[in-house]
Amino acid sequence: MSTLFMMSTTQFHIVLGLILFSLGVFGFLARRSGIVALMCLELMLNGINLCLVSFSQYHGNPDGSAMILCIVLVAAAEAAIALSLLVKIFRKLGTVSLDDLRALKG
Amino acid sequence: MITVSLLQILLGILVLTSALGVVLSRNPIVSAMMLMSTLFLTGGLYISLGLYFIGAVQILIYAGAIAVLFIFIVMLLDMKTFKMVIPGRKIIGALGLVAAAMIFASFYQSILSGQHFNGATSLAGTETVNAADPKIISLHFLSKYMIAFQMTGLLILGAIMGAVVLGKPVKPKMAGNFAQNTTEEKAI
Repeated sequence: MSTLFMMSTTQFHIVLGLILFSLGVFGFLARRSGIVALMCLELMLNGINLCLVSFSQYHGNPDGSAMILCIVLVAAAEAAIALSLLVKIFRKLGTVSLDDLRALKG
Repeated sequence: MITVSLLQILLGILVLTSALGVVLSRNPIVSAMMLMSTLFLTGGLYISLGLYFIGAVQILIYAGAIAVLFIFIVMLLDMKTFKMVIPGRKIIGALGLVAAAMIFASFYQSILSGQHFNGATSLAGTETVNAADPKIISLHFLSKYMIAFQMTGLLILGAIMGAVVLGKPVKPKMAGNFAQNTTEEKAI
């Protein structure tokens, strides 16, 4: 705990963002539900945003903030498209489990 | 050197707990709620760093729109628990854990080893530059990031059109027997 208090804010936020990104990777690979996989994708984007914020604050440079706004908008577009695709898949197959999507398997 | 405050540690622990809830929860609606909590608390972290505008955008767009969209879709789909188990699924999960651990370890080593980012030689100097002033960000958007700004607008437009097209119900083909189609439509 004392080492935690000795960290600079930059280090703390970068480590936090890395842990969020790794959790997202783990969830995306390990979970079977398509919608939870998409949530883990959002988690990964969130971790990247946190890292970008701490780099931007460390350098005192507003470029990171501008990039974060772009990332948030791209995440919104991605969520809208992916969720409508999931709804389409659910209407067709009755499930969103990623293990059931094997139509392209040779 | 600015050390971590107690508030930031508390927020960090809460963010990590919520993220673990997203990944490990069996119920998708709990996952969606935990995702909302994660995004909201991350907005709190941004505000604790002094990035008020980014924090507000995070809470408004991420926690207010995207997470609510996820909750809406989970409630719309009425998902059952997944019974079917693929034989190699546990191995894939273990490999996912290994991959996540390796990604974390490699980035941790490469970014945080040595003297980088320990705050002793912050490039911003002692005076904190307000890197998230809405005026500065909007000036950047209208000069340096003009192309990115326009492209994001185009992307949003494309995403809206794609979502509308994907959400439309599939009509039966008009090239076939017309009378059959009309009876089908009456039956519906």
